Amino acid sequence: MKRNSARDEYVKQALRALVAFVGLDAVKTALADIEGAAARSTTRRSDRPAAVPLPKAIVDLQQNDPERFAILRPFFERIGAGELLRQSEDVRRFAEELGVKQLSSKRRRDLVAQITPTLATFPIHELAALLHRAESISEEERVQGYSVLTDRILRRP
Amino acid sequence: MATSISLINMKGGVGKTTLATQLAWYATYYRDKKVLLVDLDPQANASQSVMGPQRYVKWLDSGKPTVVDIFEEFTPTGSANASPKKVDPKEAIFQRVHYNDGSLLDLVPSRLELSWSLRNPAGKESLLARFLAKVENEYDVIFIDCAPTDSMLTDAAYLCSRYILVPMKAEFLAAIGFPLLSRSIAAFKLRHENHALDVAGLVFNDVRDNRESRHAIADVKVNAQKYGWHIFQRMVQHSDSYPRSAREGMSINETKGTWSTTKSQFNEFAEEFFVRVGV
Repeated sequence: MKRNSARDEYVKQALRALVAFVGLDAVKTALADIEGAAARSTTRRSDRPAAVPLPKAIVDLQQNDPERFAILRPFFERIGAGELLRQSEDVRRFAEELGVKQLSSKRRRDLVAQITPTLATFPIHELAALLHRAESISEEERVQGYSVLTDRILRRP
Repeated sequence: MATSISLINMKGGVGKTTLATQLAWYATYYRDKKVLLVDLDPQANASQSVMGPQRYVKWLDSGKPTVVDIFEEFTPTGSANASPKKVDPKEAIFQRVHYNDGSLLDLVPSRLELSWSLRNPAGKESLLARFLAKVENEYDVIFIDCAPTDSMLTDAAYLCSRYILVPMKAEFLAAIGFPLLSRSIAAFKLRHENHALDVAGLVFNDVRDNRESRHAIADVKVNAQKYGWHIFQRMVQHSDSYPRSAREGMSINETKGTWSTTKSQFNEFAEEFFVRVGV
């Protein structure tokens, strides 16, 4: 939520600068073109993470370790729905948090399968913090890096 | 005890940070080593890349110690936090990744204020070695990414190091950097006769296949023979993936879109390097 509002503010600032530079009409025309193009095109495959079914190792937890299952099921459901760790790159970064190395695939689905056994046995008292970290791993976080550093160096709040 | 290696060249822009971070990643990921990377450059690019911008800024904002605090530990007025404070090694080390097989990559971050330490450098050159002596048993390899200067920071790096790796661009002006460094090392050795310090070698970095590159490489090779410098056989070729891996804060081998030839060329150099320094 916080990230979205930061993003919205960033978009507003960028638009204000653009309007000041090229004028409101030019921006409106360009936005209409973009909107039209977006409506015409279907969603690109790469924008839509492939669905990931609930891994068997997690399903099995329902019987063996219900407490862990209760924590991990919503997490994997969100991954499956493409809400969390949307890209392969995100899964790789999360694997680092888990201490898993030598991931052997480029496909998101395969990478998720490779981190599942570690999650299924990860110390339960550390799981909540770990899963919380996954929330902040995203392409958006990575592309903001330059602005974050620039603001810090120039001492902007 | 860890093997400490400094990446030094008086010339800027030759790829010290790129090679320091990539070799650190390689040692961790492929050689399963415990690696500490020390950022000894006020520009702090190694810190920004390895930590990622968000975590780096968070580290600074939370007032955690950096390499600046190591150099200002005994300065009455301090510099980063305006007060002298004993640095707890555990507090000053950022844990980038700890893998389940025991390999790890840690970092001592830097910050711009490191350049302040150069304004009053007297007696500070031994403080980094003193700091690293407290933690070196926890690591297999320590890499030190140096600033492109001949200063107290360079002496500090020499005092911590067993080996020096010299990245060099295959360009005329960049090639002049090594004779300057060679003179600096000779002067250091005169002042510290008992400190074992060797140049592991020169590596041509960011190499493009053109006439100027070939000319510069040939020039350096002639002089290497004359003065007994070791030049690594494998060169690190130019690739746009290196800046991308710096942005992503990842190993070149893990950076999306990197050509397999780029990966294998770097890996061959890394293997040659680690064999050379006995890691």
